[in-house]
Amino acid sequence: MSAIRVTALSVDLGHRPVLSGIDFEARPGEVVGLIGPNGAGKSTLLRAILGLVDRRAGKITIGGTALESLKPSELAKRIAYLPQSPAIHWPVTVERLVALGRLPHLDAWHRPGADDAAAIGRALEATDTAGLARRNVLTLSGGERARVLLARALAVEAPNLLVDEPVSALDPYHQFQVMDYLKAYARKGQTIVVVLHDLSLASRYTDRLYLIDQGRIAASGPPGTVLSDDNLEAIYKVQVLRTEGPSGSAILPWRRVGPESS
Amino acid sequence: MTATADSDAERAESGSGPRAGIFPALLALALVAIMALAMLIGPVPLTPGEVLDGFFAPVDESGAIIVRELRLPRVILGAIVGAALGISGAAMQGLFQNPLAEPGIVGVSASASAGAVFALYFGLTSSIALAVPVSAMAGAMLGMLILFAVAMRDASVLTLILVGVALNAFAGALTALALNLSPNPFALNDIVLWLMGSLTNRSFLDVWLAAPFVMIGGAILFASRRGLAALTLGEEAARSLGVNVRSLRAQVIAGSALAVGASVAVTGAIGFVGLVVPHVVRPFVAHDPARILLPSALGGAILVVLADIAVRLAPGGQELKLGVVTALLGAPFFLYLVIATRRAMR
Repeated sequence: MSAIRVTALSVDLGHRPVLSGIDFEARPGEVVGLIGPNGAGKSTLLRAILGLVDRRAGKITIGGTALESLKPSELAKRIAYLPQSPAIHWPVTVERLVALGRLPHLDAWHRPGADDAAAIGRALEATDTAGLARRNVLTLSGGERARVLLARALAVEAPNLLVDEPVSALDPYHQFQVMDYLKAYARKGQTIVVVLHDLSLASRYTDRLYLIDQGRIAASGPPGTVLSDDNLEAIYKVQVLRTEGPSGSAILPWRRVGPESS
Repeated sequence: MTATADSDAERAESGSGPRAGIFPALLALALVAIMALAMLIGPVPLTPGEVLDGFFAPVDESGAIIVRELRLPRVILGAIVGAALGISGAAMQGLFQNPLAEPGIVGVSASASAGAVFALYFGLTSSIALAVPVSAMAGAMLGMLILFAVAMRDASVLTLILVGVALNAFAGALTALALNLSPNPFALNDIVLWLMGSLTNRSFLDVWLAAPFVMIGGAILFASRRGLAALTLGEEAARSLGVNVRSLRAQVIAGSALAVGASVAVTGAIGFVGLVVPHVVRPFVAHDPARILLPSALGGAILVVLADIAVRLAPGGQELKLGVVTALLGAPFFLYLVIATRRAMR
C-alpha cells in the first residue's frame, strides 16, 4: 500500500497554474526524490501533500485516507515536514526547538511526558546533535543548524517525512551525513520525500525520482533512467559530465545547452 | 541583556523539570511583596499594622477608607492592568515573531482610547457613571471586529499589521478631532488627562469591570502558548505541526483585545509595559515563546504597581500621570535594549 498517493493533482497559486495533472506515489521504506528546475513546482507539491495550499483538482491520500478527512492534528502525526531553509525566530535552545516536533502528540493542557522525552532523545541521537541540546539555536553553524532542524522533523516520529532542499546550504560532508540519516530512516520503514538540486545526491540516495518541469511530471522512475542525458538537456537545459560510481552516478552540470553557450 | 547574563539565565532555566516553575513563583512572590509595599505608601503613610487594622476596622474610620476604598482597589487594579499589558505584549511578540511588537500594534488600545474620548467629549460621564469605560470597551470591541473581519480571511501577518496601522491612525484622528472640536476647556482637560493613563481615584467598581475581561483574555492568550511556540519555526512548519495559524491569530487578537481593551477602559493608555516586560523576562525563560506568557503577566503587574508607587512618591502639587511615568522609564530602557541587542548580534 502506498503511504502517499497523489492523483491528477492541479494547483493554482494566484490564478497561475503551478501544478497540472500530477500523479505521484511514495511507498513505505523508500526515499523518493523530487527534482526539477527552479519554479517547477516541487515545493508546491510538498505543500499540497501537507494541505498547506488549496487544490484546484485531484485527490491526495495519506496511508489510504483522503487528505481532507484528516484533522490537522491527525495529519501532523502522519507527516513531518521540513521546509526549505526555515527561519528560526527566537534564540531558543536546541532542546526546545526539537521538542516542538512533539506538538502534534500533545493536547492543549498536558505537559510533555516520558514518551516525548524519549522521542526527542532519539531525534537528537539520530542527527548527532545531543551534544548541542543546551545551545542557543542562533549560535549554531549552518551544518549544526540543518541537523537540528532535521532533528525537529524527526522528533515528530511520523511515518512520512517531507524534506525540502535539506542539504543546499551544507558542505559536502554534512550533505552526505544528512542524506545518510534520511536513507537510514527510510530503511526503518518511513517514507521519505526529498526535494534535491544536487543531481549526484539524487542519483546516489533516492530509490525513485520524479523530474518535474513547469508543473508537470516530465519523467519518473529509477534514478538511472530519469537522470538521462536527454532528460537533463531537455528539462534543465544543461549538458553534464558523469562518472559511474558503485552506488549511482556522479553528475556534474557542465554547461548550458543553446546557441549562446560556449 | 548582556551575553553573559543571557547565557546564565538560560543555563538556569533551560531545563523543563520542576525547576522551570521557580521563576514564575519568584515573580509571584515579588508581586505580592510589592503590592503589600504599595499599600503602605501614599499621601498618608501607613505602617503595616495600620494597614492590617484598616482591613478590619469599621467602614467609617479614615484608616479603613484609605486601605479598603482607596489603596486596595488601586493596587489590585494596577496589578490587573499590568498583567493584561504584559501577557498581551508577550503574545503579540510571539504572534508577529517580532520582539518590537506590542499590544497597541493592532490598534485595539487606540480604538479603546477613541471610545473613551467619545464619552468624555459628549460629557456622558455626568449622566452615566460608567460611560467612559463602557464606551472604551465598545471602541476596543469595534476595533477587534474590524481586525477579525480581515484576519479570518487568511490574511498574512503583514495585512494584520497594516490594518493595525490604519486602525491606529483612524482612532488617533478621531481623538484629535474630539480635541479639535472640544466644546469647552473642561472637556479638553478631561480628555488630555485621561489619555495619559492613571490609577488615581479608581474604585472596586473599576476592578470588577476590568477583571473578568482581563481574566478571560488572559486565559485565551495562555491557551495559545503552544501555537506561539510552534511559530518559532515559521508559519508553514507550525501548520505542519497541526497548528491552525488562522485561529491562533484570532485567538491572540481576541485575547489581547479583551485584556488590553478592558485595561485601557479603566485606566487610560499606559505605554511601554507590553513592549518592555517580555524583553526583561525573556532570557529567564530561555526565550521560549510559550513559557514567557505567565512571567510577562507577573512582570507587567510588578512594573505597573511599582510605577504607581513612584507616582505617589513624586513631590509637587501636580499629580504625575502613570502613563507618563511608564513612558519616561520605558522609552530609554527600550532604547538600551535595542542597543544591547544590536551589540549581542555582532
